[in-house]
Amino acid sequence: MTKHGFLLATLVLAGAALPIGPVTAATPEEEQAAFQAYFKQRFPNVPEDEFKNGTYAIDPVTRENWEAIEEFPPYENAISQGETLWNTPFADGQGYADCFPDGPAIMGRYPHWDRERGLVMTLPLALNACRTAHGETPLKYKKGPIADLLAYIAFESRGQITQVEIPEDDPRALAAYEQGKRFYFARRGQLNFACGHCHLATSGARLRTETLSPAYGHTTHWPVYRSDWGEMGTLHRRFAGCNEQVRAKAFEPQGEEYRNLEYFLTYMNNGLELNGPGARK
Amino acid sequence: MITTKRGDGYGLAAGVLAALLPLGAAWSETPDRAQALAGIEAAEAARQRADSVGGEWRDTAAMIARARELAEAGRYPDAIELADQAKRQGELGYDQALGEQNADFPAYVLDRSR
Ligand code: HEC
Repeated sequence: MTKHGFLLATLVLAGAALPIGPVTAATPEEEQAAFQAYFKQRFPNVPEDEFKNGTYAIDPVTRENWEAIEEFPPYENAISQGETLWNTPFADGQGYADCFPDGPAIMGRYPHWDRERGLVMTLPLALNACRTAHGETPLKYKKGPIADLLAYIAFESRGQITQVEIPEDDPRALAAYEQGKRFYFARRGQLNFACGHCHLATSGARLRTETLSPAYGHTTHWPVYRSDWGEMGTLHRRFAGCNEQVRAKAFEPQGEEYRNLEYFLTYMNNGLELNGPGARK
Repeated sequence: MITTKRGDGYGLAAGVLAALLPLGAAWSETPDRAQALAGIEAAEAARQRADSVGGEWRDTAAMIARARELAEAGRYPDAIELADQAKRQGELGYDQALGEQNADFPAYVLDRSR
């Protein structure tokens, strides 16, 4: 697109966006219901409990290949390395189990609103909080040991149901949800696309060699072994990749923007079963 | 708004240029170099402004870094051109972020619940 074309598009869209906003704001519950109804209507032949399989729920061609991959899952190594990490004591003799006495099957409790800290607590953030509390260095958030740990926890948590809450008695939680929502629908980058453009309105369409997955199902299966990466990666690594795809600068993994985004997106997926870790192209 | 800012920038640069011209090419701080450095500085300011509202684009910082390299290598016109593009990206990214700060569910999704 030429610079002028871009500018024009920005202006037209900025103008067009104004009258769309509903006069009375919808509640998170209403938005979640509308979100899920949208995908069920868009993909009427996809059973509800299939959305957790992402693009493979809607694309029979790549699904076959994926099913074959799942027979010898490429994330198995990560699960066993994660188990070792979970069971290896810190220098002070304590371990993850001391921070998470109900662990390792704790995936379904995250993300959640942390009232005390006044922020969205994600599992990776909680794992690093545990480490630093015990004098260990925090892990990097996109790949490596954190992905292994998460793979083990996800595997142990399979079958739990996504159940994110937005506590009504703490307006900061609703504000975090709203911020995540705005992030999701805000156009960004040189290509001027929002997350929603690709994963709502054009989900099911092909982009280069990939079929765009519906946002419904986006949070159930992390971390993921992605063939394109040749390794495991976290949800926030994927967020960063999708930001860069539209030529926007990515945000910090586990920074406030992505944590609020995760809060919103996971809330949209309430009711779906957790099935991580996953394998994707 | 943009035109005025630009005008000022170029006016200043032209003033510097005029003042330095008599000194000749032997002067190491040639007019072109000053112009390139000013352009890079302006681009960096625009990038930081976009970043402050979460609107920075992916390649802007790399473009500025490349413009610096070009300036170092004495390729001032190329450096200036690239810096100007980076500055424009910063301006567009800033405007984009402000324009999108109240982004919300599109009507075609939300209307279903009403
Ligand atoms: C230009 C289109 C485009 C935009 C915009 C975009 N994505 Fe994606 N996204 C893709 C493609 C392509 C894939 C890989 C195929 C697939 O699963 O959809 C993908 C994959 C994903 C996945 C992994 C799906 C899975 O099953 O593992 C998530 C999660 C995701 N995107 C979230 C986002 C978020 C959040 C944003 C906004 C920050 C975003 N995307 C913006 C194109 C896009």
